[in-house]
Amino acid sequence: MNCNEARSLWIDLLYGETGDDNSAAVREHLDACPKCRQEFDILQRIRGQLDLVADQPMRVDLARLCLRSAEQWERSRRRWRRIGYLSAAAVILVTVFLSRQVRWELHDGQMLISWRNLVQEPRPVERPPTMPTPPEHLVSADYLRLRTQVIDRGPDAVFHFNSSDKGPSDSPRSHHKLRDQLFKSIDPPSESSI
Amino acid sequence: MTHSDHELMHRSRLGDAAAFDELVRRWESPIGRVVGRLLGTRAEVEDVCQEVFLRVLRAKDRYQESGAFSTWLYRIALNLARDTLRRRKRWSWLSLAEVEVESPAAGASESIDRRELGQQVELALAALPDKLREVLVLKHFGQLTFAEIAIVTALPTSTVKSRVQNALERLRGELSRRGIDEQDLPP
Repeated sequence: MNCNEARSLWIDLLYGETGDDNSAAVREHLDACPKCRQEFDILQRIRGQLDLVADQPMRVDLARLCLRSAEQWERSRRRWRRIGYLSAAAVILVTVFLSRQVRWELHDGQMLISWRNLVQEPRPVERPPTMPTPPEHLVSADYLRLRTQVIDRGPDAVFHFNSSDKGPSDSPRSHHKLRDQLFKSIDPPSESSI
Repeated sequence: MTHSDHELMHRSRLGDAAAFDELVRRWESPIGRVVGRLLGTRAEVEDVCQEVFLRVLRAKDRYQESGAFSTWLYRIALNLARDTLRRRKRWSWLSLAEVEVESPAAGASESIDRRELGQQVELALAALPDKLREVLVLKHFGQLTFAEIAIVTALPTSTVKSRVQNALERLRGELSRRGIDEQDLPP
């Protein structure tokens, strides 16, 4: 056995965990090698030195132990009870939520379960009230009245009128357009001119 | 008649308070010795020991006789001691005045020398890295075999052995740093 092999078994020998064969071989090496012997002796002394560390007698207080155990058990019981209450509350909340969002229907003996649409349809934008469109017969009457007015006023009015007038038409759309153009380009008729 | 640990655990599971009492009385000193060397101060050691047996009491219903009771108990103690060390970082500010040593017999000068030497060894032990101190304490103060320490610490046996040897060599360095050479050590 060389020094390295012996060194690897020192710790077993020091604590008496070497097998008989190994133990004899290491001891034989230690007797033959003064350097290893010296180092092993130092380890032995340090190990012995640990015995000088004073021992603290320990006595577990059994009454306190039982008391603490009972306290922990009680605390654990309270915690589980609290968890139970919170779980029940959570179940109730989820049930209420689902009952509002899930639709249950019975159709021809079959249960239909559907999810309500949570995304609401966009509401139509409220527009400001527009001026009521006059009835068609009034449009024609306006046109005639304005035409008369334009003729009565002379060349200037004719100029405005001619720039946009494409003549009377039977279609209501052209009446509307004409009316709008006339309202824009010509002052409202005075009482005397009508 | 001495009952085995497994038997006492089984009886305490069935509600035998005396069995649990016997178990505590059997193991309080070995556990206290190991925890004491790992933590240092008495108040902490008492708390941790109390907690160790409290956990045993709470775990008695789900205890399985698959391994040795001692390794299971030491694993609980080691984990609790590690937690305490991590939480309080005790050794970083532990002073000599806080080391509690048993009072020697009055008038015995040799005992006083041994006491002082013991204090120095205790401080040198406290200065070791946690990994090395754990295995050395389990080996020397817990009297566990290397195989048992391997189970408690979840390390390979070869690692445990090398750590114990390393711890002894580091302890030698710590002691010489404190002015104690190996020549001063008793054979």
